[in-house]
Amino acid sequence: MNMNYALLLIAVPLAVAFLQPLFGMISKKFTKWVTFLTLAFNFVYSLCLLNYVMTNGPQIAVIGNWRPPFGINLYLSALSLFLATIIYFVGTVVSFYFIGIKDKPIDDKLSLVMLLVVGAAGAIVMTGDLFNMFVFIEILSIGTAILIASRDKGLSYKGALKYMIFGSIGSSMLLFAIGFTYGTLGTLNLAEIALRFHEINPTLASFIVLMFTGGVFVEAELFPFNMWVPDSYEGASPHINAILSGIVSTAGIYAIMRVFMTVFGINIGDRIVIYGKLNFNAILITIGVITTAIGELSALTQKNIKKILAFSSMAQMGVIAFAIGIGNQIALTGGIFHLFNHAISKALLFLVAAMIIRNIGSADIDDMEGFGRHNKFLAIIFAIGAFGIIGIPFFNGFWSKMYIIDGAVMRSTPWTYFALSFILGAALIEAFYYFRIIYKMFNDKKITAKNRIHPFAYISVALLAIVVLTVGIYPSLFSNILNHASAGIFDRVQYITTVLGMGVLR
Amino acid sequence: MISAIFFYSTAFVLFLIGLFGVLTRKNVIKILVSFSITETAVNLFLVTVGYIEGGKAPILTNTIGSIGIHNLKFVDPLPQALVLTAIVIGLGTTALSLVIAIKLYKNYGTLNITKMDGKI
Repeated sequence: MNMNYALLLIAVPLAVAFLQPLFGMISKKFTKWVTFLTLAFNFVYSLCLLNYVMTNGPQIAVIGNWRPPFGINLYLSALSLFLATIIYFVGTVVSFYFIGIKDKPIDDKLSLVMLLVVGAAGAIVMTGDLFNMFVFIEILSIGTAILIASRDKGLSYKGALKYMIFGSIGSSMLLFAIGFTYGTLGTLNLAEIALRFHEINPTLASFIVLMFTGGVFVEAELFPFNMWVPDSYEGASPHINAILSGIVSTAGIYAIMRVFMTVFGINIGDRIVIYGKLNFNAILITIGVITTAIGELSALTQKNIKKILAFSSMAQMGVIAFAIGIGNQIALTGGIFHLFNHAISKALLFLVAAMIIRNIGSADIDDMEGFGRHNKFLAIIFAIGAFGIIGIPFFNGFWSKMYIIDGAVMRSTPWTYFALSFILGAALIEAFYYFRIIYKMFNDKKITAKNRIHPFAYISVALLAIVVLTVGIYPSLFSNILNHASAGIFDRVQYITTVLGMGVLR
Repeated sequence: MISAIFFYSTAFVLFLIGLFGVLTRKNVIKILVSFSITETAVNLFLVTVGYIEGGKAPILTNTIGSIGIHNLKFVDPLPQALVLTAIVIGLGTTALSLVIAIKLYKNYGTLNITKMDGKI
């Protein structure tokens, strides 16, 4: 099998995206179907590639026959393709939901941007080159800003501007980090940097890592760079939030995992330590705890359902950063699993929230009192998603959080136990505010519906709920993929030999 | 001949000026100008990283055989490609931010970000 066909995963969405204005001349509905079909193709194709990679080991796609370390290559491992599959799956479901929304004049442009964002996120998780990663992060952040602004309200422009401010500062810092890496090592190929990163002076290495955080923490919604989260999520349409939370943050966390662990890390004992003067693992754990604490406490005080879900999304990213900071394989497996669970459950919650807001015409949770009596199906689906995020036993979040706790206990230093207690306490707060919403929904109160909901919307959330329930009841479904995926981060030698072994220096 | 350290320090100072502008200015347009300054700083830095004195374009020609391949100073085109891409991306970002600024002015009647708070 020629792996170069994997390029279609990036080329098809980008090519179709710029044809959308032409399709838009036929009909706005048509562009939405094109978006859906393109992303569905990507989903199926990445699933096939994932299957191939699981049996034959990681592969690389060399572009234009410029073998690594020159030229550009895509690295196709279990982790990349697993996350790409999640991204395309969430994209497919959201675009299916998008078909059911009433047509607006800008819908062909929105389909264009949606394809760009999903295509760029898929490219971030597959690329093996720092320069490419930068370009796709930029495409992702520009596209995301357009999506946020597309609601055409004052608040959404404010959210988009905030996102642009953080994104631009972050990308400048990222470029600085790339410049320093190139200046010291003379290469931007991730595998070659991974091979030679420990040759750099430890102080400079720490500086590069710190500069790098600016670029990827924005997308990953981690602490100092997450101030855009409340405004942007509140300003954007709720189904756009499903993309923000399910796709953009997944790509951001992947960039952190791949670059910080595989490329900047060194294997010490049973875990990966980020190379440099600073103990960046401890910093990452601290950032994770701070992000989680801020996210959960802010969510508790909010009344707007979009803001509650946004802060909850931020908190989950903190939990994953904590898992990355611990750095042993079990915690990493848990981190990847939690990333999957978060993407699915949060996309589900945001889509249900979008339907509820559309149905009752308000985003305030006080106005949702009695919604469960009015529309049982949606309320139950919302409860399923919420249970998945909280981690009630026999829902998907439970298993991933168990992995993370297991990894943290294995690490067993006083600081990890202390941080873990914070994460668990935050999970309690989370359970409290989700149960409050669910309780309000099932209160006895008459509610008047304003707008009808399209059946496509029901189908898309039902699909996500089925995934949540399946993973919760049968968590070993993905255990093989997850083990391969975390080994893909953990086994740095395999990464380097797979990429450079194909190269000119073999 | 100005040494490379001059350009490095200029890039760093420019970056700090831009960052200061972004953090302290209240006017959206001034914030966007500060962004442009940071972008320029990064581009200057990248060009300086890739600069080799007396370097030549990495193209194989007939004259190379007589000089000997090890006596040649080739410039790696990678930083140049990086800077070109960064400039184009910077253009796109600035254009989009300016559009957002126009829309903000139409919605709020002001460009001051502190005065926008509290209004919906």
